[in-house]
Amino acid sequence: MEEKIPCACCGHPVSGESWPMCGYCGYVHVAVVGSATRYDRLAQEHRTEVISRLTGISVLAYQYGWSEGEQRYKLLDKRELALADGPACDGDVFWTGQRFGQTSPFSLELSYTYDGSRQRVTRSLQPPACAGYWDLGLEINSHLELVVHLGDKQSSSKSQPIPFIQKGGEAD
Amino acid sequence: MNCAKCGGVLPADGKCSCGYQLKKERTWFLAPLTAEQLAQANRMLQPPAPNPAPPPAPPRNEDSAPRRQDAKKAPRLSTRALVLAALAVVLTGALLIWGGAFTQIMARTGSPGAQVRLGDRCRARGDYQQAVEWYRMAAVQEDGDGQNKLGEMYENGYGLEQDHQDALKWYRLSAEQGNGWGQSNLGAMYYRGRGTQQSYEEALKWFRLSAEQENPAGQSWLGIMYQNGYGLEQDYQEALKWFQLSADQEYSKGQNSLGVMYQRGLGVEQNDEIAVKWYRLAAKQGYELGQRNLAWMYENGRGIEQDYAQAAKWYRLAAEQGNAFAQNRLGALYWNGQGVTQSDEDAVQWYRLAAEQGDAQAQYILGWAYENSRGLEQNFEEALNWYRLSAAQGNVQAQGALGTMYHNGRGVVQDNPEAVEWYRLAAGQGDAYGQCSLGVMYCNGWGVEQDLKQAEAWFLLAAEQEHASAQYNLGVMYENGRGVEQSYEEAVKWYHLAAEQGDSAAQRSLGQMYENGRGVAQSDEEAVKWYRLAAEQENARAQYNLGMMYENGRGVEQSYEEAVKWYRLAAEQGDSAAQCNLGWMYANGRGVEQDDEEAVKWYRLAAEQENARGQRSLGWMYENGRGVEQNDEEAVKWYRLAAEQGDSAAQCSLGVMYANGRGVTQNDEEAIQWYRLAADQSYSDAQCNLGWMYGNGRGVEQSYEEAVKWYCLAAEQGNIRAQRTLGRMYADGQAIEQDYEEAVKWYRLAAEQGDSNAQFNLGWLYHTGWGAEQNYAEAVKWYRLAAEQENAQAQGLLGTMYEQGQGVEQNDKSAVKWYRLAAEQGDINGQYYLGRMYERGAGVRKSAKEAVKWYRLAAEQGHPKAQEALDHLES
Repeated sequence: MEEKIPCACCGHPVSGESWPMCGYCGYVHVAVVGSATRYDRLAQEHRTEVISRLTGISVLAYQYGWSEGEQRYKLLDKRELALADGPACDGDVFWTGQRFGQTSPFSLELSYTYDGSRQRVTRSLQPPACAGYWDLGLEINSHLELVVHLGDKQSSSKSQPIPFIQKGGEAD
Repeated sequence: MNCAKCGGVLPADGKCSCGYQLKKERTWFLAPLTAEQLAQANRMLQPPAPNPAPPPAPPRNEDSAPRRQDAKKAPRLSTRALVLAALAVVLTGALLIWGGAFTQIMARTGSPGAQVRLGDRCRARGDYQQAVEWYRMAAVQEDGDGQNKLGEMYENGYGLEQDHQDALKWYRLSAEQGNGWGQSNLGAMYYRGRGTQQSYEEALKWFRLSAEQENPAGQSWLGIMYQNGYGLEQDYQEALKWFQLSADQEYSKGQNSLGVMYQRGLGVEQNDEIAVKWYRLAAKQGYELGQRNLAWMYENGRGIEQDYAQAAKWYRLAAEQGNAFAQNRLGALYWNGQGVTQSDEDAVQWYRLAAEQGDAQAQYILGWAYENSRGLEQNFEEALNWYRLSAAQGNVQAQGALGTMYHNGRGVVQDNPEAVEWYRLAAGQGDAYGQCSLGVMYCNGWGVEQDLKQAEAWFLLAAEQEHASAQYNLGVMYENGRGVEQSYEEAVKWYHLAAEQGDSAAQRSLGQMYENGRGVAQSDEEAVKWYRLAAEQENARAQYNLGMMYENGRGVEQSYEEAVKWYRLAAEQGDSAAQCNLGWMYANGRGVEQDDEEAVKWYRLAAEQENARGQRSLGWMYENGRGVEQNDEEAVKWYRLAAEQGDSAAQCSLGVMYANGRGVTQNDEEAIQWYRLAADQSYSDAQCNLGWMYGNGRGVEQSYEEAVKWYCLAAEQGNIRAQRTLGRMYADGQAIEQDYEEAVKWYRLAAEQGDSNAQFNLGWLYHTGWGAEQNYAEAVKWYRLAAEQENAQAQGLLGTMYEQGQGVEQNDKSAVKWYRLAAEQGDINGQYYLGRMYERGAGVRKSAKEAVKWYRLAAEQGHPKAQEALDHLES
C-alpha cells in the first residue's frame, strides 16, 4: 500500500512514483536534519520561484455601453484585460481595481502565461450573493493554485482553484 | 441590472435609492449579457416615453387575485431557497473536503486517525510543532500510530526538545498495543541504546514482534540483526529472507539492504545488476542510502554502465538529504568535472557540507582547497582548522598536510619538531607521504637530529609503496653516496621507478645519468628522452638540460632555435642558468636575432638571482659596452660579486681590471690576489696572467721560474697564449735556457689550435731548421696558415718561399701577391721585396716608380737594403 504524502510546497499528494519530486509543482523533498526553518525556507523558495513564472493573467471581458448613433445599449468591445502577474497574487487576494458588472453565474475565461507557455482556462463563477458591480481579485492559494475572486474585501465569491502549472499546450 | 454603487437591484428607471443613476457610460462585464439583460438596460436608458393613459380600474372581485397569486408565490420562492440552500451545503461540503478542512473537523472532533493524518501533513510541511500537537492528541487517546509518531518527534527533536526517554515511553506504549511501527522503533532504541541501556536481545525481541506482524521496518531491522549477528548467530540466509520480505513491501530500507546483500554476495551469489535494481527502487523512494549506493554503482560502472551524470544526479539527491558520503563524492565529481560542469566552487560547497558533518576526507580536501586556493580564497588558518579536525579523526593525509603546514610555517609559526610529530603520526600508520616527509626531515636534520640511516629507512618504506618522491630521494642518496654506499646503478634503479611514474625530478636526474653514462650505458638519445618528458612537465632544469642538448646537437639534431625555445621556457620559470644561456644566445645571435639588449636583460635576471655566471657575463657586457653604456665601475661591481662567489673567470677578469686600473685604482697586488684565486682553481687564463706578472715582476718579485711554472700549468691545459709564450721564451732563451725543441713543441701546440703567431714562428723554425729538421714544405704549410689569417710576417715570408721556389714551386706572381698583402699591412720586408719585384719586373710589370714607392716606404721604416736600393735607383 502506498502512502501519499502531501507536498511540502503545494500540499498536493506526492505519489511513490514521483517521490521525492512532487508531480505537480516539481518540488524535490529534502529532509533537512534538525532545521525546520531551513525546510520551510526551501519550500517557500520553490513556491516563489514557481509563482515568478506565472505572468500575464488576463480575463476575457466584454464592454457594453450606450451607442448614441443607434440609441441603444450594446456590446462595444471584447478583449483580454491584463490583470496581474503571479507574484502580485502570492498569499493574499490581489484586488485588480477593475470593476465588472455581473449579475448571474457565468463562465470566466482566464488566460495566463506559465513558464513561457500561454494557457487558457474556463471556470464558472457565482457572483456574490448580492449581485452588482464588483472588483476582480486574484489569489494563489497554499496549493499553488490560482483562485479568482469576485466581490470586494468584505464580500466575495471565488472560483474553483485553477492548477496553473502546465507545461505547453492548453490547460483544462 | 444592479446598482454599481450599492449593488442593489436597480428599479426600472435605473435610479437607485442610494442615489446612483445608471448612466450610458461604458461598463465591462465578464460574460456577454443576455438578450433579456440588454433589453432591460435599454428600457432603463431609453428616453422616457409620454405618460400612457391610466389603465382601467380592475374589477373589485379581482382584488384578491394578486394576493392569492402572492400566496402561491411564497411557497414557490421557498422551494427555490431550499434548493439554493441545499446547493450551498453541498458546495460548502465539497470545498471543505477539497481544502482538507473536513479532516480538520474530524480531527477536532477527536478522531485519532484524522489527528495522525493532520499531524503527517504538518510534518511533511515542516510544521513540526503543529504535528506534535496532533500526534499528542491521538496518542493520549491511546492511538498506537499517534504514540509511535509522537515518539518519533521526541526521538528526533522535531517540534519539541529531543528526549529519548520520552520517545522510548511513547514507542513502548505503541509497541505494547501491538503497533508494528512502534515495535520496530522501540527495538531500534534498544539497538542504539537510546533512552535505555543498549541491548541487542531486547531490540531483537521487538524487531521480531514487528516483523512477524509483517511490518516492513521490523523485517528490515530483523534482517540487519541476522546480517551482523547481533543478539543471535549471524545468518545471511535469514537476513536475506527478512530483507526480501521488507523489500517486497516496497520498504526502501529493506530494498537498500537487499541491494547490499547482492552487491557483497552475502547469502546469495554476488550480482551487481540485482543490487542496482534494489538500490534504484530504494533510491526512487527517496531513501538517501539507496540514492548514495545507486550513485556509487553509476560512478564505478558496477552492475550498470558507468554514467557520471547519473551518479551526480543520485549523489545530489542523497547529498541534499545530508548524506556526507554523497556530498563528498558529489564534490569530487564537481572537482573533476565528471557528469557535471567542472566547478571548484561547487565542489568546495559540497565538500564543506560533508566536512561540517565530520567527514574526515572532506575536511582534509576542504583544508587543501583553502591552502591551495581552489574554489575559495586562500586562507591558511582555515586550512589548518580543517586539517586539524580531519587529522584528529586519524586521517593520514591531513596529518601529513599538517606536518607540511608546520614545516613551511603556513598559518603557524614554522615549527619543524611539530612537523616531524605529524609526519611521524601519518608515517606510523603507513602513509607513504608521511614516511617520505619524515625521511626528508631526517635527511636534512630538520626538527630531528640528522640521521641518514633513518632517512633511508623511511624513504624505503614509502618507496616500496611506490611513492615517487621517496623513490627519487633514494636515487639522490645513492647517486651521492649519502647515508648509503654510493651506487649509480641503485640510483638509476630508483630514478627509473620514480620516472616511470611521471616524477619530473626523477626523469631529469635519469636523463643526467644517461647523459653522463653513470650507472647506465651512456646514451644521449635516452638522456634527451627523459629530459624531454620532464621538460614537458615544465621542469625548468630539464628544459635547461634539453636546451643544452639541442645547442650541442647531442641526442638530437643540433638546433639553436630549439635550444632557445627550451632555454626560454626554463628562463621564464626563473631558472638562472637558462637565463644565462638565453642571454648568451642573444649576445651571439644563435637561434635568435643578435640582440645585446636582450642579452643584458637575461644576464641581469640571472645576475640578480646571484648566478655567478650571469654576474660575470653582465660585467663583461658593461666592460665592453655591449647592450649597455660602457661602464668599468659597473663591470667591476658585477665581476666582484661573481668573483666573491668563487667564479674563477670573474676572479681573473677582476684581476685584469686591477692590473689595468679600470673601474678601480690600479693595484697589481690586488690583481695578483685575484689571479691566484682563479689560478688555484686551474683557470688557465689566470695562470697565464699570473705567469706574466711573475715574468714582469708586477705585484710580485720577478721570477722566471714562477712564470714558467704558471705558463706551463696553463699551457698544459691547452691555453694558446701560454703555449705561444712558452714557445717564444724557449726560442729566444732570454729568461730561460734556450731550447728550440721545446720552442717547436709549444709553438706546435698553439699552432695546431690555429694561433697565427705560433704558426708563423713554427714555420720559421722549420724554415731555419732550428729545433726541428729544416723542412721548407712544413715552413710553407705553417706560413700559409698564418698568412691566410693575415699575419703580415708570414705573408712576406711566404712570398719569399714562392720567389725562391723553396718548399713550393717557384712563382713570381704568387710571390708578388703575398709580398703585396704583407706590404699593404706595413710589413717592412714585404715592402722591400715588392719594390725589388717592380724594379726587376718579376711577376709584375717593371716599374721604377712603383719600385721607388715601396722602397721608400720600407726605407722610412729603417730597412737598410731599401735605402740602398732607393739610392741606386734615384742615382
